[in-house]
Amino acid sequence: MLTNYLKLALKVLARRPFFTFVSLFGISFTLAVLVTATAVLDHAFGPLAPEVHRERTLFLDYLILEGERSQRSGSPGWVFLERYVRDLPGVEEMSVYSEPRRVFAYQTGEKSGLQLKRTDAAYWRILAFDFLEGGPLAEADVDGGAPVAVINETTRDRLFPDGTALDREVLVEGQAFRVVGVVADVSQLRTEPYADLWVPLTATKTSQWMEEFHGDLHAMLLAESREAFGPLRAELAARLAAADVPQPERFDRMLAYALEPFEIASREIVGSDDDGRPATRELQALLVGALLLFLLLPSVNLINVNTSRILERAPEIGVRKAFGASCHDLLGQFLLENLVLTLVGGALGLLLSVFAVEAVAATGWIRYADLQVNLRVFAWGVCFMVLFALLSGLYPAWRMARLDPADILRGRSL
Amino acid sequence: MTRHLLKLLWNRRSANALVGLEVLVAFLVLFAVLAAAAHYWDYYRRPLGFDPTDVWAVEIEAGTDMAEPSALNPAVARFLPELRSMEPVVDAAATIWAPYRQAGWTTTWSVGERSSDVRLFNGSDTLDRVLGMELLRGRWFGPEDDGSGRTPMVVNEAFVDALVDDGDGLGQVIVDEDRNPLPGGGEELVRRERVIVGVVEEFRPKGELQKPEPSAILRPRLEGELSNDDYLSALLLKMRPGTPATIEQTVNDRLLSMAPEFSFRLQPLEAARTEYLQRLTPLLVPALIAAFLLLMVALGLTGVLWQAVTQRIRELGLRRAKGATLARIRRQILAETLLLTLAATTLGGLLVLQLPFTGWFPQLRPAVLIPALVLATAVTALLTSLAALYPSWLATRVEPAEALRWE
Repeated sequence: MLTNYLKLALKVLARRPFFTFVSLFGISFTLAVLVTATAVLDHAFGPLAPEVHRERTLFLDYLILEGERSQRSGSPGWVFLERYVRDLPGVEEMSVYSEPRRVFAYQTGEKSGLQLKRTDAAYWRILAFDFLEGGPLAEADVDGGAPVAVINETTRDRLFPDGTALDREVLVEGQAFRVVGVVADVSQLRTEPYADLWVPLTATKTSQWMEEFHGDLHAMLLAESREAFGPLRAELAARLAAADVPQPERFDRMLAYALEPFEIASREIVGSDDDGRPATRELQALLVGALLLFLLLPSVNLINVNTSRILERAPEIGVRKAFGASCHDLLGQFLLENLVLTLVGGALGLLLSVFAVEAVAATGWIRYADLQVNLRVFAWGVCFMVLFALLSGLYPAWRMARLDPADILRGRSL
Repeated sequence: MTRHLLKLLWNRRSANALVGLEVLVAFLVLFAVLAAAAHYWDYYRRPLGFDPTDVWAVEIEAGTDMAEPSALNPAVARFLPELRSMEPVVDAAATIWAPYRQAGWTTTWSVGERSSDVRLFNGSDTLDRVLGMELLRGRWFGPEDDGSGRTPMVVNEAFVDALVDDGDGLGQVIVDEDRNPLPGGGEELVRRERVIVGVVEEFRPKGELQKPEPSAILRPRLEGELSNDDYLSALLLKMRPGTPATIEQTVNDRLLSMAPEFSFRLQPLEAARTEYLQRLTPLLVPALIAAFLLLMVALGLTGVLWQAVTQRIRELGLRRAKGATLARIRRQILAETLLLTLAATTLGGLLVLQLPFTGWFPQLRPAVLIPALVLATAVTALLTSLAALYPSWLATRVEPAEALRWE
């Protein structure tokens, strides 16, 4: 019976090519947009290299000092991180590194804009960078503030077009850094590992950053496991509650949280509550809302097209009903037909999304984007497809199964 | 005739309701995209207030404490004459931030009963010459304002409209008082007086899409007793036209030799502008998606109307048999579609008109709302008419004899 239904479904699709084309266009386009969006989200939040331990990593990148009338917020500085974040329980490794900063290198007669990040040695142990040449910044380099640097592949090709970069010098802002390693490019959406040029945390012109409470530093905390997040966060909160707030005449409390990347994105995109906690739920609601809003028009369109297509087959339904097919049978058949159509459209959509993803990557909006329609994204695509088939097939199928056979056979207008 | 058409539409209400819903949603999508476009266009077409041609920005990078005016402004005072003495530099000025930098400083000021949010910007004495700014009235500030005890400022027209009761605004004094807590307890009253010495039409340093709002350019002090109000972080250099980019490094080296403790970042403003506009291109993605959605809607409607025509073959055949011309049949289908569109867009328009009352979208000012509403209605009508074109032609192909044979 199922094979019969399948055969019938394909026959029906071939009979009115225009309708089939319209349905397929809608389905494949909608899925291509969804899969591309998912690919970008996955690219930003999935556990991809070099952040191979992302599921048990927390970040601290924002410190708020709050008083009745004044507030100061921004990246924490060295003093704060050493005093309150160092040696939290359940932390396997902690890294301190700076925000990326734009610098220019004048080399090979050209000017290259580079993102420079200062890091400690732990940074290279937590993150699994793919080294093409040389190795990471060593503990001794960071301790001694050695003028050495790791650069990425694109920067190497730009600054040293004639080949290897090891032991050669990059000149930025009047400082010359000797290249000790070259890594594969990391996408801009992976904000914490992303940079073009990494130098030791201590390789600065002055050591003033070591006295800053607010500064330009982030901390990355590799926990032993996700279960360690709770105690870790509780201890941090307890330390801050017991701490002496700097400038007590202006500020009376200090807020900072160890967050996962999605929580950081929530704070940046939506905001935070009165206690500075990120609005994670709001961002989730926003994403789901955007998804439903986007699905509305394609769904209504598909419902309309399907209803039209089904009403056209009224005579066939009348005959089948007259010969004893139950509403249930018909409903099943039409949903199956719709599923077949959606699957064909979905396959086309996935194909289309491969091009769409490549097009997005080619725009250069995301530096070093390595967007891919991978297995995880594909699985999401299939979920969307089934959801879509149900959304757009139920109403027409129900309407069709409800038709009165006598009316149809008599040829009454519907 | 219209009443008759309405009756026909009503007879097929369940099918038409779904089509109407589709048209309504399409209308809302169109409105959203057009409103966003109108919003940005309205900002984009307004004057920027400065000319970035041949101006280079030098951003000064310093540690948090080094960026305090007490450390930085005296250095700036040394840089400016040195830079002016360089051959390709026509003139130099210092600013709080380089134009096209997305940073802001706002405050609320009041004069008498009036109060307004004001966007502040620090710019040195020669900024008008470097950025080619033209004053509507008054003068730019300069050394003649030294020792007056008041900070001179140049404001835009919106500032005058928002805060000055009558007159052209020149000479208007703005006082703001701030209670600063003292370290040992107690409070210190800080009183600042500012005076308008000039008025420009507009000044939007953040770029073409910056919201036009009351703005003031204040004169920072370079030496003497400095406070956070005197904050500076960038130098602007007006270069001779055609200066090659290779000079950048020469300028950078000169600055580094004067102050090795700082870092400098040079960029022509025109390059900054290009980057700024490039960052906005992802805004086109929703528009592209909406265009595809609308194409999908047009195709879907064509299919639905096509099916409706085939279904009504007897009705149309009867009309033909009773002597209706081809043109009238065609007009009937088009008019039905347009009536349905009208109903859907009216409902959509009413929904959209509620939005300004919710306060969720302050961007929906009349200059945005009205053109977006009109355009969205027109485009929706165009879209549905196009979708009805083929089905209405199909309706004229109905042979009366063929159609009536059905009974």
